[in-house]
Amino acid sequence: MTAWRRREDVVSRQTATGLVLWPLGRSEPLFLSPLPALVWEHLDETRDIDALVALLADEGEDRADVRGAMQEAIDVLDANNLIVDTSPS
Amino acid sequence: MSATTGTLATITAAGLPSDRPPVVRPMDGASWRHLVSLVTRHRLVGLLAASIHDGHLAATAEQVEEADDLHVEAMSRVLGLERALVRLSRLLHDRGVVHRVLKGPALAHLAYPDPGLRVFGDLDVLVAGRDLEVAASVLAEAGFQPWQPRLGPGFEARFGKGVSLSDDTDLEVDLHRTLVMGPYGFLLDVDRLLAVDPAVLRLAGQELPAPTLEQLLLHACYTAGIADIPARWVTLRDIAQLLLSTDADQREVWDLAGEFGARTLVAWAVTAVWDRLGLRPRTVLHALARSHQPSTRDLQWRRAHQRGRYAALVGASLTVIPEPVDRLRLLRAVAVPSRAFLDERGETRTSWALRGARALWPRSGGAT
Repeated sequence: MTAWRRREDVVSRQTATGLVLWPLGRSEPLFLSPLPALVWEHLDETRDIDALVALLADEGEDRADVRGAMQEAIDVLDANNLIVDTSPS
Repeated sequence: MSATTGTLATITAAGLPSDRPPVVRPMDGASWRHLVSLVTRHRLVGLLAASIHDGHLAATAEQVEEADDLHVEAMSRVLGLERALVRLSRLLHDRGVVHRVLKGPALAHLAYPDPGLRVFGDLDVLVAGRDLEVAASVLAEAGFQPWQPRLGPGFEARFGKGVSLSDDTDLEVDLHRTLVMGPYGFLLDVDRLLAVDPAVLRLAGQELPAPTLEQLLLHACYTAGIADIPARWVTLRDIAQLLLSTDADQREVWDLAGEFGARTLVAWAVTAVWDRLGLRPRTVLHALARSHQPSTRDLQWRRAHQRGRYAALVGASLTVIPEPVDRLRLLRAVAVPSRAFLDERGETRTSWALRGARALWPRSGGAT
């Protein structure tokens, strides 16, 4: 199963409405809404989607509802080059 | 205390053990606009958002949205600064320049529980005077240029507070040779500060050198005591934050201030924090500050800072520079500045000399 870890070369700040991030290699900051922001926070260590769903379920979310949104959040992070695929090739 | 000042105090003290009462009714539009301008000027946008969401400051739905938007904007600017800081600190390190990341970024990450509470508007880096020119050249290679003509060759490295530089995006970096201009800056032993193992600031996977908590607290007291008069509210919060939420050794700060002739600055700063924020806990440094009596010299120097009289500060500095040859060098550098320095201020050599004389001897030369 695919697993990811967040990139380290990013500075960030939490706000009430989401997470502001600025990867060192980019010329503009990014804004993540709460769910992608939460996923990014949890990817401080390598996790696959099952582990992420389990973490959010622990925080009171329903697993069935969360899996689809979780994949979308990961897609957002991946599209913005904020996470690294750590799966064995 | 006016209603607006009281609200600023409540915002500044958010989350601290304080007697400041919450603001229980949303402000009208005009009062809110005035508050927002003050909060922005005093770098309290992070604490404004926190005060609203923690229930210390009542706000309408529109005001909540505006406060959140302001916070996101402020954090974007702060992150732009931190992104540059990571690059600049690495460049300085690679060139062997011993340095410390001062003020905003260091305080945000080392003193506050959430760095998003602390807004800052520029970068400040401390280097030894002997390394100032090398550090400035490193920054120049990275696109930063002094934004004011220099007073004279080598002046900043020996006598100035430092050099202010900016890049083509107006991102500003203050390279400090000392923490404050004037006599207190000359009394301060920067080599002593740089000789202590730094605190570590972790940003974007890198480790940046920062002052210790004690040094951060001392610096914040210099800033509140004389550098910014009246002090920015965020500086008062920095001091309260360091005293109440970190394990900074307060006795060490008092001893260090004694060595640097700065106990009065610490006393002024700490008593101002307690008075204006209505803090409840009594700390070691607060007790020491309350029992301290300022000297006549401290009062004179503070007046010079308050009035912004550069010549008076130079005059006061001459009384603490030990070597006669250095006193002569300082006098000559200030009396005969570079042509570019004068042109930038619209001054001639004669007008500059007259201005200096009036500041040093206001009774005979007229007030400035």
